[in-house]
Amino acid sequence: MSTDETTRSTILRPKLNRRHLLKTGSAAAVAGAATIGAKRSPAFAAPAVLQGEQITLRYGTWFWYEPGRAEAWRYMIEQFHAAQNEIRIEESGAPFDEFTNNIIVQLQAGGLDDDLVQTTPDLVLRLLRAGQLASLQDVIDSLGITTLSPAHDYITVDGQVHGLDVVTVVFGLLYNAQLFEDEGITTLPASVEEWVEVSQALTSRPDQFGMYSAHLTSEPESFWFQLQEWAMPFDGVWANEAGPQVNSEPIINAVSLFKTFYDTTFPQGSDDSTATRQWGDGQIAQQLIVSAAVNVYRTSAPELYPHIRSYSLPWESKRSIARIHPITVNANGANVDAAKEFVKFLYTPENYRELLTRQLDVIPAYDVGGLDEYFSDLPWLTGYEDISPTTPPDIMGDFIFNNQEFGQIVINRVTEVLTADRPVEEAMAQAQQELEELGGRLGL
Amino acid sequence: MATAPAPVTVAGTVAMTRRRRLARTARRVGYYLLVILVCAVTFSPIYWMIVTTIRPVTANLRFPPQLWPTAIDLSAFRALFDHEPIEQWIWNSTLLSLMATLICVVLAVLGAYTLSSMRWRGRGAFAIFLLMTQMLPEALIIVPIFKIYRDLGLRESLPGLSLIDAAFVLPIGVWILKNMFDTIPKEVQEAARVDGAGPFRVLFQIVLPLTLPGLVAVGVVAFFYTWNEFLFAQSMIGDDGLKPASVGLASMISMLDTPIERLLAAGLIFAIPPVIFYVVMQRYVIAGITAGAVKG
Repeated sequence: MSTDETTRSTILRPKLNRRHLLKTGSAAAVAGAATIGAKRSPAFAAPAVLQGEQITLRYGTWFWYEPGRAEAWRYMIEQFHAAQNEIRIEESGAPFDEFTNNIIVQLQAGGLDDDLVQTTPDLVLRLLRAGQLASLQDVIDSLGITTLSPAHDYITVDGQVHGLDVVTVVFGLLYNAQLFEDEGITTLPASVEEWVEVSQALTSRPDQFGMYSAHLTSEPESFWFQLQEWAMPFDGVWANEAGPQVNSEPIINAVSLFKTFYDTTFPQGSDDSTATRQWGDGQIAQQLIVSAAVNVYRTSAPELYPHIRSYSLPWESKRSIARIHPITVNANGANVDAAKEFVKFLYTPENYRELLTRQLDVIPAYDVGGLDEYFSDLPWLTGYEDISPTTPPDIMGDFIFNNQEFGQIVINRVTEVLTADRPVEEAMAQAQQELEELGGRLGL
Repeated sequence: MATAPAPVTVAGTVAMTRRRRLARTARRVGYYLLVILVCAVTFSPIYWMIVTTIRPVTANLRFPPQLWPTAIDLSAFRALFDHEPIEQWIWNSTLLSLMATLICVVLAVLGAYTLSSMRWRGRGAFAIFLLMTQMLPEALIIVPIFKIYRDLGLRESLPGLSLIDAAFVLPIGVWILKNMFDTIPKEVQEAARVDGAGPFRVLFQIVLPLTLPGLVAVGVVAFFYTWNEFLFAQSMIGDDGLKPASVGLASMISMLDTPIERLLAAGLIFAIPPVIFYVVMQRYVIAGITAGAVKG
């Protein structure tokens, strides 16, 4: 077994206990209220003071380009600067669509530029496998955190966690309650068939569309990111230890369902940003989308925000993809200790609560407590509460290390299904063949 | 038995002239229709950019789309200048493009002159090799270049970035100028040498004044390439204060909330400097490209 294979299997072995992820979040609220109390601390906890000259850390992330989230992070950094004088944080990174590519270029050229690197669920594995990430176990231990979400298991090697989640997103069904009411829909869909039916009833082209999901090859990241979720109603996986599974029955069903929605309910050709505008303008009734999107909508569509609701996923398993986004520390950087100080500052309970609420996130990464009041003020949260989370490694197998390449092949073939009416089975059979070849080239 | 030619009548001549005139008119109409069609295809995206930026935001979501704006709203431009450092981006792009253009023109002149006027072993192979470098896509060589630049400390530097851009345009610049230099009769250069001029004097006093359009053409090609270049700029420059416009514009695109009208307003402003540059240089460019293309 090669070193790569050893590392890969070590990383992937500790699977996330799916039932635990959201339970941790809800338990956090209960336990937190009991132990810490619902009142938020007015002061921020300062990090341990480092000795010596002022250190400037680069924090590479795409957050700076996201409305709502950017403000939340800038606020936290301001507080960090106010709390001490030794460490300064400098913004770095690129918009989401370019961010991963930039990091991979840096990696292939010998190492990471930034001291702190924000990661996606798949990028963190690449960096971990490449030996670029410092252990953050000492941060967790020094804060006495014992309830870290099991979602971190897959980035824990030899008992050392190598990234700490700062945004957990989970897919759910958001809808515009006003449009549902106008259409006289009082019973929310409880099955896939009802979901299709209701979405079609809400569609009145070209003025109103029952559903939106990213579907353009010009936006490969979001197309693939969202398409993966469509396998959940059928308990499908895109790949597993046996290799790609895109011609399996659940995936064929998933693509067929996507095609049905595309044909009958999507605003065909709308890109993500146009769809966001249409959603804000009341032209789109539903989206199968991550909870974090609500933060963008609160900023970009303030009139719509009070009408946003979610409903329980209309499939029995309630299975849905949860993605953690760990902040990581560059193990080969010059400022590892200082970078850990910043992470420690973020993970201090009062600071973490502040970050989570400012980001409008709903799944805490550990038992932080004190969030009852916050959760009760989020009327759009209900549909996300009974979700059974699954992680990207669970549905991608070893291909999680090459998620982008895998996704590019899939979306190319799915696009043929959507726009050229190519039969689903035929298109996915070709995708399967291409992915097996990819696996061969990658040694998977 | 020979057949007598048909008598040419006045009516027949008039009809033939009319037919010819009609045919000429038809050809001209066809020609102009073709021109209009090509112009429509070329200008429709630009027209759409303009319309999208000057009409109210809500109109951009209507279907069918309004081809003619019924109301004018310039808030996209106001928002652009309020929220984005567009002036800085344009300034950075201008500096970057001028630096790359200067480097490219200087090196292309020397390279082309060496290939055109000097005799040395491997000259032909080297010329072909230069062209082959154009066949490598940027994405293929970004990693090694990134590593070299990181090791040399050339990242986060507009002069450093201009070197890459110049290097990418240099081969085509050398070929354009080489072809132009080849059109100058050897006798002219030899006469100058007989009079005691060295190679550099021949180059600067004889060859370059005769090939000015070629120089301008290379300059325009280098300027345009650098102005539009994205991949290297995006990989090498992370500092907000150094971002060229191509990267700045891309930074306005986010996953869920891209302000389309503001982005297109930025695109319009982004397009203005190269258009002005081209209009100023246009007559030289056409002369340069055509002169370089024909030999003898």
